[in-house]
Amino acid sequence: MKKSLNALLKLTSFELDRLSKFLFTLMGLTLVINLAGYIYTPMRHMNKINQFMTENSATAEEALQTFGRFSFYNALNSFWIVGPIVIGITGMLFYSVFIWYREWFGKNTFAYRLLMLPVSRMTLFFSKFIVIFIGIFTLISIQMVSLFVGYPIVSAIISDTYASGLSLMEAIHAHPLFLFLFPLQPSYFMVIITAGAVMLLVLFTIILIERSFSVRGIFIGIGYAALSLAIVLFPLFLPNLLKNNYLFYSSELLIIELILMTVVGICSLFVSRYLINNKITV
Amino acid sequence: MIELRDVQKSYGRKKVLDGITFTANKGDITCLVGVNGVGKTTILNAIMNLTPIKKGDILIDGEKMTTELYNKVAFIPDVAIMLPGMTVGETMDFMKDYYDTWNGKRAKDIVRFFRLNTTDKLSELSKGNQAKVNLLMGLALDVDYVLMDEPFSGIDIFTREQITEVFSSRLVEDRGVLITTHEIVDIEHLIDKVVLLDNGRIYKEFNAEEMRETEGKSVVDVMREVYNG
Repeated sequence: MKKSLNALLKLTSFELDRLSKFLFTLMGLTLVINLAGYIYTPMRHMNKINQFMTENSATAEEALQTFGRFSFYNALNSFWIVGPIVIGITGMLFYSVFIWYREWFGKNTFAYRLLMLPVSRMTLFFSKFIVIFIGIFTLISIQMVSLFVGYPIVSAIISDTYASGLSLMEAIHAHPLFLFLFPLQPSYFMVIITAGAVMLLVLFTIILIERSFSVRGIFIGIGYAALSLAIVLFPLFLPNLLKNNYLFYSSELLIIELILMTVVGICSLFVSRYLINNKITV
Repeated sequence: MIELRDVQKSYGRKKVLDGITFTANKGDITCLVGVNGVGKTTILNAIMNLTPIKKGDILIDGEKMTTELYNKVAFIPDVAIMLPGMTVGETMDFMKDYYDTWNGKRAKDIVRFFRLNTTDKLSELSKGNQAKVNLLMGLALDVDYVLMDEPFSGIDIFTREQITEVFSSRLVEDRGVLITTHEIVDIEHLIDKVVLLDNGRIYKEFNAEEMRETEGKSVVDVMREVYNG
């Protein structure tokens, strides 16, 4: 047990080292683009107001009527802030696939070495899984840091007359994407974490199916993904199918979803273990 | 002893291994020979559980292959298997980190023997030196069996001579070696047992020395008879 844990830590640290360049690039991109956005979006608003007032000899009141007050939400809702989040999500999704395929299709076939390590092959699986999660949480943390840095910048650029007075937390609560990244209710947090973990497990399983059965595996993998999705989404469509909108309370639905996602996750783990131990080929 | 019993494997409809049964003993050098595509590499991959078999059994000292047994059997493939960005020294550190059987002293001896530089990056090494690094990783392990896939493939004559020296050195002493090679002439005098493959089957299995003494034929002579009809 101690030996397995030790191997897991070593492999995770090794994988983390391999992720670091990619992760630092994503972190850098997020911070730079966000900061540019926190400066550019309020400045553009202020410029518009100033230009409007100069060209029309308008008062501040008239400018406010035309352009409205600027809130931190406006900054959050811009490409400058949403863009890096989309880049981060896409990047980590890409890396989740790349983390496996690079072992086979890189310049050297590292899959040989990894599969011949005298440790349980699931240790490889878990090290890759943990590293993806570390990457995701690191990017979320950077986004959070950027929010706390951005809020005073935006407040400093927008003068009080044109500011809406929306607090940082209020702006986050108002934005669906940020509510998704920083869920405030523990139950919502649980659902998002479980959904993310299960999605990753299913994705890893599909990759292992493809690595085990080649072209045939692509079709089996698509079937596995469709089945997993159908199982998880089934309770959401059940009220419609039975034409009864009062079938579940939302709290019941949440529990059912958590249970079904856990079932899909556990099944994916078992399938992955079988494939990586018995079917995978270099 | 490495033991294969009625091993079968197919790629689609094509049978690659069709009832392969043989043993490779500890202390012997067993050579799998055959033309390209006859299933030699597949056999080594199957022994190391790097490709699944359809039917049959593969046993290492009577046990089925498990990840723990990677401390008992080393595989030296004919492709580079470490990350190209690593140096030779980092490769050795990696092996030391994961293998209980890594013998640091022997690793240093092999580095000296092959005149490798531990600060060289793998991506900058020639094909011959890449092969030497692969040998380093396999031979520095205190294992009972070493599997080698085409260790002479695509390398110059001097490197080949150096690698040939390995077979008569202490590096393989007392171990069971299972090797596939086309360059049979280089190591023919060192081989104990030959397993001749044809179309995924064992065509002939013989002791190289006995064959020389009783029939006056070299391994290459026997191969010519089989493959040239």
